[in-house]
Amino acid sequence: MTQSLGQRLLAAAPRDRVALHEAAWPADARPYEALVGRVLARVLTGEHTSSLAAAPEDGGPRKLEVHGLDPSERALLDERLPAPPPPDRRRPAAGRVTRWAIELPRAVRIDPRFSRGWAPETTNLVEFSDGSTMLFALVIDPILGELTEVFRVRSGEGPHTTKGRRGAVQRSIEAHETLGLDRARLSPILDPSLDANGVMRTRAALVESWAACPPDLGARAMALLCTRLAHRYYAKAKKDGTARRAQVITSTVEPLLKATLGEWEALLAYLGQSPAEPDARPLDLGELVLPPTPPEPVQERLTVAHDWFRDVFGHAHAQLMPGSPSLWGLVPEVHVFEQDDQRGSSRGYNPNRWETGLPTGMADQIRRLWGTTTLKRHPNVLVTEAHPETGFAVLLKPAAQFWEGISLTCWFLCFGPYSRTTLGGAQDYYQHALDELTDLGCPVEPKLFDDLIEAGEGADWLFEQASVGVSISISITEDYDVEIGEPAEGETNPGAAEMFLKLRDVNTKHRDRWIDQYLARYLDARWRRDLGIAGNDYRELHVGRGKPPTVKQAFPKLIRAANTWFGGDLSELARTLHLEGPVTEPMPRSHLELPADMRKVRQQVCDELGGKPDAEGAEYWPLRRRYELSQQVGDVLALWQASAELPPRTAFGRNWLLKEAFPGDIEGGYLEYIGAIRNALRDVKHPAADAPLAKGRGAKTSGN
Amino acid sequence: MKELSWFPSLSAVPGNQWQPPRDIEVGSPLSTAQPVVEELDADEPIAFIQWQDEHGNRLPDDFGFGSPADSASRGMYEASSTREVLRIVSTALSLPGMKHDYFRVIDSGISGLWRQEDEDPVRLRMQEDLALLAIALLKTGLEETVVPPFAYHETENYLASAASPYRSLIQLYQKEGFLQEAAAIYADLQELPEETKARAYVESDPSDLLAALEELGE
Repeated sequence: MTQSLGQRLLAAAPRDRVALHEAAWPADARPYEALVGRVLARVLTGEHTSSLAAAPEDGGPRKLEVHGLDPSERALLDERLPAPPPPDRRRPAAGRVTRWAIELPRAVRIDPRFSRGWAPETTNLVEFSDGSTMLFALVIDPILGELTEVFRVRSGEGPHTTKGRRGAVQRSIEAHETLGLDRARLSPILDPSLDANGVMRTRAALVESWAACPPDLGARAMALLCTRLAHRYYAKAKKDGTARRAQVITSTVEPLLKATLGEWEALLAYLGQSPAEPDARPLDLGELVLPPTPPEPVQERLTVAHDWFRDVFGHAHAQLMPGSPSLWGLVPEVHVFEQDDQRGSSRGYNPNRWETGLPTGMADQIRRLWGTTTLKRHPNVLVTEAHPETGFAVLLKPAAQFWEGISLTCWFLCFGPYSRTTLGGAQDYYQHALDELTDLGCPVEPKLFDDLIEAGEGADWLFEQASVGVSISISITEDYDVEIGEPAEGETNPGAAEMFLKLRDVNTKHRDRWIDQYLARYLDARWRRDLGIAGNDYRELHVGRGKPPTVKQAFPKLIRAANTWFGGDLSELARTLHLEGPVTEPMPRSHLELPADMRKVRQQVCDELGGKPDAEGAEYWPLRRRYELSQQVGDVLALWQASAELPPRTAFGRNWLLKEAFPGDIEGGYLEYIGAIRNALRDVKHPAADAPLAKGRGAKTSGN
Repeated sequence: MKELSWFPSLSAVPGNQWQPPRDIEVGSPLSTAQPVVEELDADEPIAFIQWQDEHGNRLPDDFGFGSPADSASRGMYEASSTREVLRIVSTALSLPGMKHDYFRVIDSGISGLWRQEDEDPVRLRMQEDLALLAIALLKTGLEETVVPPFAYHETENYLASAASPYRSLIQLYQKEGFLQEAAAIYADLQELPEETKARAYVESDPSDLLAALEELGE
């Protein structure tokens, strides 16, 4: 059977690939290929080809300035490698460019001793603003990445297994051979007996040898990247050599396609392959049709959100008086990490405030409607959501986030200890949430900010970015007496109480008007947007595969909307959207229940592990991390609910947390954690105490 | 009353080779300041060090307690270039202070250099020099180098900071692939007294990486 060009490319020796590549590379892409060669050659010879612009004041990504390109070359790159659109109106598109690798040829010539680390890792995030930047991100970066992989292996930054290290070194060798560079100088880098001088000498020898690059470097660079692309293609191909686009072009492969052939059809022509059946005759699923009115589960949640906005949130802020506790925490957070940590309470934050002051029955309603979820590892069964308020919070955001934010800004400006913005800076500070509300068709009138500024006139402290006088101060008088200034209760700025009431009423007037005019529209837009995104993402996957996805494949597409509107029930969401596939099969709810008093269990686990949110000195991080682990017992038990087994370490994940909580013994540490959970569960006579610990990759089997 | 051991500049501390750069100018009253111990009337008497100029006046300082070296190192966090960090560190080390002041200045200088985002090779060379300087200072007396007199917290809370320059050097050398040197520093680190071992982040032994490279070559 005749092999396609793609298959021959993979079978060929690296040095022979460029000839095969040249035969298949599109003629109209040759100017681009030649330009790649010119820029890459300049990088490899250590020319100063790029530099970073000064960091922007907002801390965003820095621009990469590419040197030595003429206008026609820049225009070619802008056309061939256009920068992606910004993710939103306030942030530019950005991505990573590994500066140390790109700068290494220049660095070894300037400072052979510290050439590896001279470009700090923090500079890797750059703004994707034009084609020349994209050339560095999509082409130069991956090629230098492969050439320099051997240095990463030496530094212990690459793979951590012998097999992985061998693979990395092999990639580096292949890259040298494909590019026509001398590979003989590569192996000495890995000599463990080298001292610093030896490393400098061998490193400089290898990197400086790159300057002797062949004239067809552009073609060789494209051959290298196309070979990598071909690997990804044939990993997904069937015996007849066809592969579906959706399976090959993942988010990690797409940059390779952009850097080389640009389009899927061009890739197939290059490889000499035909389109797969589902791509040749794509399924026509028609338009996604949302229900004309909210389905019952959605309507139930809309009603709770509507009542909460009017009767809880609006009412509480309208009635807030100076001297009361602040309302920070009234709006639940989308993520809860530290529900038992009361340290913030001295600053007015109470992570459990969301459930206080609710009308009778509303807290139970929230627990019922958002109290279940589905886990990625076990997407066929509903389990308990340890923090029902987080699903509710997703629905409330960004409206509640903005209205709470502006009210708290006024509160903290008046009563301290500090505010994150001034009255004059508030509109800019909240612009992101304001933009989101505008996009949903529910804008906040800019007059709100004019009215607040007008109400605050004369009180300069509302317009100054400084803490007000509620902090503890220690001073020594001329007589050497210590005076400790305690936080003053309530009013600290002149006329703060009166001023707060004025600002509060401005907020109330505008918020009530917004609620009357837009709340219903906001909530309607939210469910339609969420269900529309979920439905379309699922159907795109379905069409790409040519058949319905499995439940595991469907999970990432549906879980967000399912959690917000269907208590995590993927199947109910799927049926509502008339999707096809196994995900529509009804999901059972786990019959296993969590302990009634999770707080007590968490506390006991924390005590047994010796966890502390605020330990002192060198023990701070290990004990802090142990405390944080204790806060995640709910996640361990959710996995137990889904499988009737306590999860292995690999299923629990969070290796970074375990590593810092139990330095040097992550496996033993996890077993200690599971042991502490078992003990706490035994004390409350909970059946999970005696559940087996599931076997996982790399996990030990005991844990009692 | 505890006797204070202080120096007019780091170069006066026996056992280290540091010399102030020629372009650093240090003027009065900071350069002629001296420490005195004061006691405050409170429920429990509080002792603290006060730095005074040659006329016995308290040095102008936001906090009122810092040595000239310590005062001069403030602003390190805001420094926005390698050269600026170096200027701050050099100035601070040229002023009076105690060993623990100099150690803190050096340590925060190393951190300050980690934070810099300029691609300046001097940054790494200076980090190496400062880390070696800190280790040399530790070798003149570990506890007096990391624990301030009249320390507010328990002594053990300060001891772990002795590992900091070793850690920086190991990180720096390992990044460059200088594994023999990184392993030697790691071995030195293991020689520190047991009380300094309660560290939050225990770096792995570079010898493991050397063994992995041996295995790769087989």
